[in-house]
Amino acid sequence: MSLIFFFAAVFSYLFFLIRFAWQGIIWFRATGHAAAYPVFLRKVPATVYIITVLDILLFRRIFDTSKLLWAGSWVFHISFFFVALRHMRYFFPSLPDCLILLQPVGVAAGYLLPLSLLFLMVLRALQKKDRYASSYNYIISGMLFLISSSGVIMRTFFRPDLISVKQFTLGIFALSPQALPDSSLFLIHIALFLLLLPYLPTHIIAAPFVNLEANRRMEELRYVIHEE
Amino acid sequence: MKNKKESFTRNLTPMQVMELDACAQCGECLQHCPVQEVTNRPSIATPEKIKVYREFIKATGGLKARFFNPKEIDKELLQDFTKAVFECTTCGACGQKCAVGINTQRLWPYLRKEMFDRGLVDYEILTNLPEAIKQTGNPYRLPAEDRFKPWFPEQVKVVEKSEIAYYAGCTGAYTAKPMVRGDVLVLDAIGDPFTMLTEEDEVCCGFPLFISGQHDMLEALTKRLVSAYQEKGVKTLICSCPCCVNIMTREWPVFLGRELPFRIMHMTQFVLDALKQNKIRISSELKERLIYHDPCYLSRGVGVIEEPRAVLRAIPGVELIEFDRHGLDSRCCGAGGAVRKVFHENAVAMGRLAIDEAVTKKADKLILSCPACYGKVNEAMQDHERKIPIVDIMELLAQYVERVEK
Repeated sequence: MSLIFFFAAVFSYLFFLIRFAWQGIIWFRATGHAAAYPVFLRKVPATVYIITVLDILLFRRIFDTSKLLWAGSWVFHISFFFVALRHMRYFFPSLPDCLILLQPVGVAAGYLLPLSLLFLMVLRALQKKDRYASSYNYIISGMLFLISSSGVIMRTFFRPDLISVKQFTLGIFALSPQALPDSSLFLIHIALFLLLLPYLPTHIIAAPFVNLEANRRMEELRYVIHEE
Repeated sequence: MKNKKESFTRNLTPMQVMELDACAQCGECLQHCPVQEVTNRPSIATPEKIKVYREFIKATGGLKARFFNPKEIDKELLQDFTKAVFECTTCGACGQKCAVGINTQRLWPYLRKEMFDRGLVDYEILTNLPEAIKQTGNPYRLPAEDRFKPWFPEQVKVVEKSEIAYYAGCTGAYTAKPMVRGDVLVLDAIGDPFTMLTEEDEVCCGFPLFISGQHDMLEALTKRLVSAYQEKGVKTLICSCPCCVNIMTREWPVFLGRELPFRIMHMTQFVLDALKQNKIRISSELKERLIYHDPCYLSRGVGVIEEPRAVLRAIPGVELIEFDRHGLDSRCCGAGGAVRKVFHENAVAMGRLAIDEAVTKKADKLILSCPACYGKVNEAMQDHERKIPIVDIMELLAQYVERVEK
């Protein structure tokens, strides 16, 4: 069983890396004529970068569109970020101080994560029938909900042996299979994660760049036909 | 089907492929899509089109396709996608409101081009465009000798050479004559000598070809027009059609391969400058509530939003009111995307949304500044229970403007 999980983990991480790298190759192999698109804004002002960073941190564009969706999405992403940081303790032999400081935030985020996902799924389900519903988003959200819920249950009620969990995860990256922790919940938690990892949406990489380009374009709109 | 193994990214820039990937499929854009508003079919909505196109890219360029045989794409899926991407008015409202900021107004023409390149487009009205432009210089296959004669005011003098030129555009010249007549009357009032190409030389700007994805003739058209204006010593080219202005500003430099040798100005910009420089004045009053509709390719396209409003406010007595969605968020009137004749019912329904809102807001006149909008919204009002006078901004101004004699 340990070996099955070990190889599944290696395969899942590899698939994830190759898929994202290949996606990058697809992006940069595009050779459209539109590459010669005229530039009206010779120098991108620093404000465009600042706005983009704020957009990424605060999800301004979603806020402009739907306040409820913004609330759910922002809490989901921010709690996902802190939960991911908290999980770093399983991947470092000794944890950096900054990550130690963030552990309590990660615990709180762990409770918010399934709640925000539940909120987003209910919000989608309650919206009118004629609205667009992406089955991919439902599947990803559903899996994340199960992963985060199992994490919360483990944290609150059925704690696995953390030393054996750490040994197992470090073993994956050292390519040295270790014994699986003796916890069914952990097995479910990690199995779902390994299943999800290769299918994580690539928009997490593309969206910030597109957001930057959109802000540059908005700034540029002032100079397309107007003289400075 | 042609080129079935060709990559679906060959017509796109890396940023456009990233944009396709960046779509989070949230579906929020649907509430801003005018086509959705009148058809209520999420299956042709932006996130669905993007999802399907990603599948096309994957089928020819994905990992599996690279190392094994590229997957044969279902012909029906390709045809459905083609229909969906052509049913769009390319207004770009979805992109304006996109949670990540995808530039859809520019993306759609290139996805359409891909479908054209694969021989999947069979709307005759579109496939006949290149031949019509080749033969007559305009997409309507109308005689060149009728381009200016039916509407050009006799008293207006056009000089042979000038630093200022006026381009009427095919849609204005053939289908929205009061609009282009208003343009030249206002130009005449301003008093700066201006030149024009002859009716044979003023050919299509290329916009219908660009927007429908047929780009083969664009370089030749651009070079022909640019060198014709250059020979006349033009430094400023004025045009009132948002589609022409858009392609001249954004695409002509691409197809020319360098910066344009002259400046492009929208008619309202030129008029506003003339008002500021006291070349013209408006002394008669117009005590009316006017509602101005922003054309998508003028507002979202090149950012001309304030000038038309400033020009209208310059008419004493005018009360300018706004559509709920205006400026960068304006709602397409249905005429966009070069498919208003293919998807006529959609276009009419969208035009009626504009008419209904203008009537509900108790506007006395609906002011437009695009020949395509002018034609379609007028068409939408036929057999519609709600009526409102539809006037082009220069058609209106021509009635009030006076030259300031110095």
